[in-house]
Amino acid sequence: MTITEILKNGLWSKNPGLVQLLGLCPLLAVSATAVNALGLGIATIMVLSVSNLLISLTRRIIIHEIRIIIYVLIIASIVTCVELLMEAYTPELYQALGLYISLIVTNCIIIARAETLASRNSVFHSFLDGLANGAGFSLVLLFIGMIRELVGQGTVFAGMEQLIGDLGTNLKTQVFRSDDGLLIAILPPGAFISLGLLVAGKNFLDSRYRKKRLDKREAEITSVE
Amino acid sequence: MNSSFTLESAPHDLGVTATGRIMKILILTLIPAVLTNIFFYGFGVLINILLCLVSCLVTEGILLRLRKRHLNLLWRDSSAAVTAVILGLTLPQLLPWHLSVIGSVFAIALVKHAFGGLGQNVFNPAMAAFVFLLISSPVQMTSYVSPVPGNCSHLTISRSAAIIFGGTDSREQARKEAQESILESLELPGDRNEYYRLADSFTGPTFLTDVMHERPVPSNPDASVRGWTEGALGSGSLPWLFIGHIATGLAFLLGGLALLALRIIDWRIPVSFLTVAGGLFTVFWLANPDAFLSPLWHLLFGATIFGAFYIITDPVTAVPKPQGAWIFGGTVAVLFVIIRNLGGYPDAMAFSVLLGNAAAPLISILTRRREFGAGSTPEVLHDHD
Repeated sequence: MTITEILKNGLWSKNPGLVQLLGLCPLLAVSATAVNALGLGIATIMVLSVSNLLISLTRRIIIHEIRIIIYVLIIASIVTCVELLMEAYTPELYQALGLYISLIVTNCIIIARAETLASRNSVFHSFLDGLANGAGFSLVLLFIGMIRELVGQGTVFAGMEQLIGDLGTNLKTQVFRSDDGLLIAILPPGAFISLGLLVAGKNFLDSRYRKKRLDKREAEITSVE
Repeated sequence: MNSSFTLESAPHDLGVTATGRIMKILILTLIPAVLTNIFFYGFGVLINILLCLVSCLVTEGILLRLRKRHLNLLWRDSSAAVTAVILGLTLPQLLPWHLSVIGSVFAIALVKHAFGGLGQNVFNPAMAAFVFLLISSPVQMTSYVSPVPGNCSHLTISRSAAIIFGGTDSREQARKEAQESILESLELPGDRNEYYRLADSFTGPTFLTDVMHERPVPSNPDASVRGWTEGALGSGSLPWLFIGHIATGLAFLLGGLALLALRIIDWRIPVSFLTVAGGLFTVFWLANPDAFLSPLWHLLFGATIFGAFYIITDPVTAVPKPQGAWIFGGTVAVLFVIIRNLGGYPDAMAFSVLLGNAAAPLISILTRRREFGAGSTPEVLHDHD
């Protein structure tokens, strides 16, 4: 597998959030605001890339029959490290995300990448795949978070200071009055509706691209004739 | 004599039933209800209906175009217009315009066309949009106009339009004018200036919301729905409410009976809904009259009659089979009674219809007609010989 292929699969054509629909629980539960989404996204990227790296390193000594248990053990220790790091450096965000950081352990994307890719590929490829998939997931998470925050309370990137300190205080953009927001966007139904629309949008873009390519090929065939 | 030429197979009854005809009759039968609503609640109802009509039809047109369907479906099946009229009648009369538009777009684009268009939608578009708006802006969506006979001359077209479309200033101005006009006509006792000082007395929570707050709860065990309604009756603040609700209820009933007479809707659904709901309300009321309203009031207030004839009978989202129709009406009624009497929302039509819609495919499968002889084991057949 080439590097570009890994990147393309993780970010677009096999995107864990939009195509494989893995890890829906955090995707739907933590995307009420852009900050929460970004925070969990970064945590997921860290866990996913490091777990892929470690599992690929140890793939020859892991006993095949009990591999899932060992994966979970490795993932759980990485998640614990990330959780402690977040508690130390971004305490407000840690409070806001609550249980969902620990729940990264049970996020099926991580087990899926470990089982399908990291357990049979080189260290570099696995690490890159972890980064690409984590980034693909985080982008979807961030996008849904931005849509929901915008529709629900009329702001984008409110409370960024929780994540990046004083730099983030000026990032907040108020698009319209918070009272005019549609509350449903922040509630669970909003998450399902925006994810559905995003998946539909991706399928639309894909089918349009495919059609264009087909047309182009047909044009080539007729020109050869 | 060989009579095969004169014998025909069923069906023998050739009707002219077409979707468009059904939908247009449905809208026509709503005319008395719309007029009654305008008389008791002002012209906001009419503006809402027109606003929903325009936004529903525009959305439907765009989506038909996107889905590469012929645009004349807009007129031919008219289903978007029915959704618009039902939504316009259920929304609060003076709802800010952008919410009506958002609701209409949601109903047509996401509830109907995202599932495959007319005939494929699982949920009733108008009710799904109502719930969407109710969850989105609970404050605006629970403040209805109190019915006053002749409200059409207080909440005139221009005042209603100013409240619905206007900015903060013109809205306040129109509200004040409408308020003064209503108070002028009511001939209330005491100092009139006292009433004028009230910021807003013609819109507010509905009767059912007030009743909901009078239920005895652990923090307030002495509350009594019975005592509250009797008190309100004694102070004379209820008769207007009664007249308005009885009149609108009768108008909807009139339209509904016309639909039954024309066989547009299945009579089993409203009958089973109203009997099951009435029976359960009676049981609740007899068990504890302090906590629950009497069935008569429940049938009178809120969307009970309207829903029984116009909303749950939606041919797409209800169950068409005879036994299924009985079960469907009953299911919606049970949910309706439970949510109204025990839930945190004052009216329950929208929620119970959506839950009933979700159950409809299952009911439809479970009540499938058994083919002759199917399902019997050979031994059983043998026994009957």
